[in-house]
Amino acid sequence: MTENNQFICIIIMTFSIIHCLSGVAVRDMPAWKMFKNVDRYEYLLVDCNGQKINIRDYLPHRAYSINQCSVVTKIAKWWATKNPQRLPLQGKIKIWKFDRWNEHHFRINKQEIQWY
Amino acid sequence: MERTSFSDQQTRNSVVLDFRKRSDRCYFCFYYLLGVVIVCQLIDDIVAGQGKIYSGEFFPWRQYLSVSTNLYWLVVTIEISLICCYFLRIKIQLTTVLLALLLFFDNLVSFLNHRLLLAIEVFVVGLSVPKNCEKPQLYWNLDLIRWQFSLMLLFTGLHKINAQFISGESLHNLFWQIENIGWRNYPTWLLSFLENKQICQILSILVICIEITLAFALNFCTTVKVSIFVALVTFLSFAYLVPHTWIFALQSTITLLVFFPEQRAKNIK
Repeated sequence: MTENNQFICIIIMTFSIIHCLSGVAVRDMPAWKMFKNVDRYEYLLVDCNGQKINIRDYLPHRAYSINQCSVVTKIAKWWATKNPQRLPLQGKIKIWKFDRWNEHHFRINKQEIQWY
Repeated sequence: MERTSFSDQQTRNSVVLDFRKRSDRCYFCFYYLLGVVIVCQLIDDIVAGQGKIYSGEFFPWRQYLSVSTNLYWLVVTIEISLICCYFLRIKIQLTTVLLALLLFFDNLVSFLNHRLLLAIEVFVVGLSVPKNCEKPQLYWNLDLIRWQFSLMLLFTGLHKINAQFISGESLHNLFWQIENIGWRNYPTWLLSFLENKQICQILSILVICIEITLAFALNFCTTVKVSIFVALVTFLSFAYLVPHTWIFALQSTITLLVFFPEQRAKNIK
């Protein structure tokens, strides 16, 4: 094994370890966190015409990013920027926490999200 | 004997960090199977609608690089050309570096954990290539893949040590979501099993233990065969229970090849 190869080895492993460790500090860093936290939730998104919006229509069919409920509001905000003519967008998220459903309502109007 | 930067004494004492000599056949077996994973990943990306992320029709989840134009088909065309070069073994080192960079670029547009692992593996596999030698050679790059994979297993397990996962809630929710979306219709007996929170809790703890243990056990000569068997069962179960993860399972199964003991470097005279 040459010195150069050993150097490449050390560099790659160092970056890998930094990537893994940074995942502990940075919430959104992927760092092999597959299925670390999965939420149980139901949602309802309705545009100004009363038409339901399915967030899966805007994700690749295999996307597991849906397993955290925060993705609903992220997609809703993104959708709002794409379809300003269909605003305001009404949203309802039911999250299963501590053996019961907790309901949250929000409205998106011109990229602003209001919780109520 | 080929010289390594590790002294004999160091090699004797080191088990996890040892270097192993492998035949050219072993190298190419891994090389071509890895190529199959790249092809599967490309097909899966096309079918899943990766192009729509580039064009902005799909939500840019974990997008680190913004692409305004319909760049996707250019990326796909270059990737197909590089895959052809890869299988024909044309300039292996250059091809693997370019292919890894392309996979990495693709990952900046839409992140997938196993695509990142694939990019690393493709990059590393080309760093040291066979020189048509009959004797087993020291493929340090395959050892690097071994450590990288072990590191991934270790951190996958460590990140799961949190109250939500240990309580079994994450797995319970995951199976509920999979059923709810309609991705998989589990048999009734299995569904009743997976809907039981206590069983999910046991399963969660088992998953953490297996992942952390495998990260080490796969590297010890005495435990490697049992570990490979356990890893195989784990990956296959995972592919069945969690739909759309079959490429990761396939990739992980193929990566197990580099753990298979041929000869430790110190035993080669």
